Amino acid sequence: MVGCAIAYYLAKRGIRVTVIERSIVGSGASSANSGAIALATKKPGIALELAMASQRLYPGLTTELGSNVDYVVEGNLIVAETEVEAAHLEALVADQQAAGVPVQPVSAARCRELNPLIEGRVLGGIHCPTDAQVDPFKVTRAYANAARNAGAEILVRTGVETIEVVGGRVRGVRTRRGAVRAQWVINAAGAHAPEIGRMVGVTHEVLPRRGQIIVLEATEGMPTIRVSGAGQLLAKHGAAAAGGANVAPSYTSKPLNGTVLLGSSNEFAGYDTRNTLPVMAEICRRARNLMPRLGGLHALRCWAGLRPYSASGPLLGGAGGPDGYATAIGHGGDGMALAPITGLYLAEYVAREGRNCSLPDFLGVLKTASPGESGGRPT
Amino acid sequence: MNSNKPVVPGAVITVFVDGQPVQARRGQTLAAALLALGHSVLRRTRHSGKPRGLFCAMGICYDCVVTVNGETGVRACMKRVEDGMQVISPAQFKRYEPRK
Amino acid sequence: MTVELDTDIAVVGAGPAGLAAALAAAGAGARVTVLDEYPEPGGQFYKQLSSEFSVPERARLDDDYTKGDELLAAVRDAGVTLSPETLVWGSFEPGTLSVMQGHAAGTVRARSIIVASGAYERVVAFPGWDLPGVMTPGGVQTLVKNQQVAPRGRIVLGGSGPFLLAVAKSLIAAGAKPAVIYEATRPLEWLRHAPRLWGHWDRISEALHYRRLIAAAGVPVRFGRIVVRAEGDARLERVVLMECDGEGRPIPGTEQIERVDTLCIGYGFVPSVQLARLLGCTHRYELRRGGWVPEHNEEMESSVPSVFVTGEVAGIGGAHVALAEGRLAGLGAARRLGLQVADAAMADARQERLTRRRFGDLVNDVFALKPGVYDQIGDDTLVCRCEEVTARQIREAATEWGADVNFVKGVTRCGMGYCQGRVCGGMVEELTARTVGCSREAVGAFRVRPPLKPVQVGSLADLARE
Repeated sequence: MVGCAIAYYLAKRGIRVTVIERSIVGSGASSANSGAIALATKKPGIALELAMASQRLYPGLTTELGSNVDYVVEGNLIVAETEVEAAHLEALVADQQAAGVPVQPVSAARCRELNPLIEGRVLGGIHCPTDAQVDPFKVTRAYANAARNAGAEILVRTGVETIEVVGGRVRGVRTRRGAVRAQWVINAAGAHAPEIGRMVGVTHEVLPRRGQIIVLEATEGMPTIRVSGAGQLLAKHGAAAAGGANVAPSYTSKPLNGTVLLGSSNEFAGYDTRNTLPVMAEICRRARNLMPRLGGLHALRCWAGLRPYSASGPLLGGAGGPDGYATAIGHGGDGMALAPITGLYLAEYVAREGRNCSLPDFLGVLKTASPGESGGRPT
Repeated sequence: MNSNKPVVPGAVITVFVDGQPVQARRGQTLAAALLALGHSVLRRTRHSGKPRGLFCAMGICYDCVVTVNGETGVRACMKRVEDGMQVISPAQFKRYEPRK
Repeated sequence: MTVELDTDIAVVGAGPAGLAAALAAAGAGARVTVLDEYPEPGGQFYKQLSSEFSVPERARLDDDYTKGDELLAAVRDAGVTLSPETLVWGSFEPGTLSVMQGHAAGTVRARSIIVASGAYERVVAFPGWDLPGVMTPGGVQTLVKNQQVAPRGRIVLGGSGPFLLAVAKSLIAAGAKPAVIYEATRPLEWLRHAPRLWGHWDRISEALHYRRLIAAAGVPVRFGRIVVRAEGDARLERVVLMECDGEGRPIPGTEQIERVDTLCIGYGFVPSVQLARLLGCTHRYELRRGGWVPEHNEEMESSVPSVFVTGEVAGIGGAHVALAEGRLAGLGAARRLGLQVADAAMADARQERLTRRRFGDLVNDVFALKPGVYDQIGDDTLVCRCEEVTARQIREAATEWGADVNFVKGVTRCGMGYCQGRVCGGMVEELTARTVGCSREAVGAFRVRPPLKPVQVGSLADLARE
């Protein structure tokens, strides 16, 4: 997903780009997430800045890419089930408001009103009506197709074996199917980023963090607002114990096809993408506690994705190592939300040869540009 | 039923299909009971509203799913009839309209 | 409520293969539990009548019931535990199966697992195949034999294979005589296989018996014709048939319209491999035996140690294969546990299996699926019934990126509904492979993830440790 977005924005600028994909388009975490494009889940900082910039790009994406990404704005509600969570949300919402996020604290009664499935104990929550969702697979595919139409090449089932470096500058990569010469090599390998980094002697502090999701049967009239327990944020914001699966309830309705996705978990389990019984059971238990009526619905299937966890947030642009090596990694659970802005930024970064384009400056310039210019050169 | 047959289904009971009482025999699957009564359409599909009926009758295809006593996604071909059972035949979903 | 069970051997599926396996393993001294989703044991072949039904004269029932009765009695006598209404929906650790009994979830632990999950029917889509009134032959068989309900009106059988004759026989016995049977193959095409019939006398006489019965009832069998379209308003009213050439391609100008109330159509069977795949067994694509089949050694042990596969799931071959192969798997699994199994018994079971497989393969070859049958799937034809995905959507997605069925699934949502791709999976693979001109192996199969069949959130929640 991130790779396809970068390729699209590069190709759009007329830069020749080749995406090298070990498996198929969208086979990694891009197809194993709930498609949330959320601000309410982020604490102020660069990730929030990126998310805000990305969220400005999403509404126009279907038109821009020429393929429907099922962008839907139904809002996001984060509920506190414990005092600790309530305190966390209270601090968070103030910071978010200060940063310009249209988020409001809401009472327990208002939570139930916003999503009538909530019948379990909640102490209150925060509500962000502008938060949205997409079909993650469709976004990835739309970027891939648009990139190809703009002249990018995407090689699927082609793994990178080595990165060639001559005189301190990358010269290309060697793949299972032969060499690809290039001025720049951008690591967008998600949870597998460290493997690519090692090829140029760079250590990336990115760990695979597994998230499991359960898909429910399509049911008519499900409330459309997304709901998650603040426990998910405690884990995400580093305020919870790092061990265990950090299961918190999360409910994502997919109104275009009627299904519901249940999450969420965050666990370090290596590169194992299997689902586990204790986590599936716990996800269901937490969902039922918060929304008892979900207990009567059927689970149809489940999956697990490896989010590229980075303690310091996304690592975009220069990352040490040889000249011409850049990264677009460490998006954690926000790869979907941040992919468009990541693509736009990396394209800018490469076009400027990595000079004079710090991420904060770039975001600052973007903010002042009109929304219609999404994808265009921001200066 | 025909007493000349080697097998005699169970006692007559009543199940309610979309509120209408119909007779069935104990031991029958809901699908068989409904087919015996000439109910060939068990539901409408959620996207296009097309009629669907019994297809594989052995629990594989899930084309005969109905709502039984409030439980969605119940295969009529696997569910045994019970006296007083409330069956709802699923209809086409209302199309999602994005809010403005 | 949750379920916990420990056993030596868990057999999944109470059809001929599963029961024969259970009997053999129990005979060798193993503790055996047979798990089956249906309320009565017997599988599709020996499916038992509901205990709510009364049978004044058991002797008047079909052979299948008596044979099933005998096998079940032997299984019970051998001390095998039969666990009906038990859905195996997952497996998260080696030697464990996650089960569901009604709404009670649980875990079965076993030292060996025998997968005898059988098969289901292969239906190749055609316009109108989703109309009420179009059914699989197996579905009609279940209704007539097991439920004592005959479909109404004018009944026509179509597709291919000997099972159509078995269904016709049941319909005749139930007083619901089919109007006509349309078989896609032609007897002339069978001739080249004739020498391979030598020795299989019991099966030949069985086939002749069916044939005579159907002829005596005055049901015509017409060869070399396939259903290309079904039409009707809210339900099936008529079908369009066409003659087909040796490859199964419809011959232009041969359209024929037939008034039909119930169409039973199927092109043989596909192994029900979802559990074997979830357990991690290596599969290979073998069209002759129905498609993807788990690999196994000569004692039916799969690529995963202590997981055995047997009967239809290990390759389509019919009930006689299932019985023979079930016995072999049961003995093999018992031996794997360290129980004494005489070499002679093992050798005899292996021989019996090979003989039965030879005949099964012969039948498979005679009624081999003709590739042209897929030509009837026009772009507007529905392929995934659950998610309402057409062939056009599948073909378009197939060409986009790397011809992979899981990509096609992600783009189109085919295979994401209640049935989890059981019905459309083979077609999506075939359409994808044909669209880009590569093999079935290259396009792969839908990933299998738990739950194998839908289970309630509340039941899963009950498994959580608070």
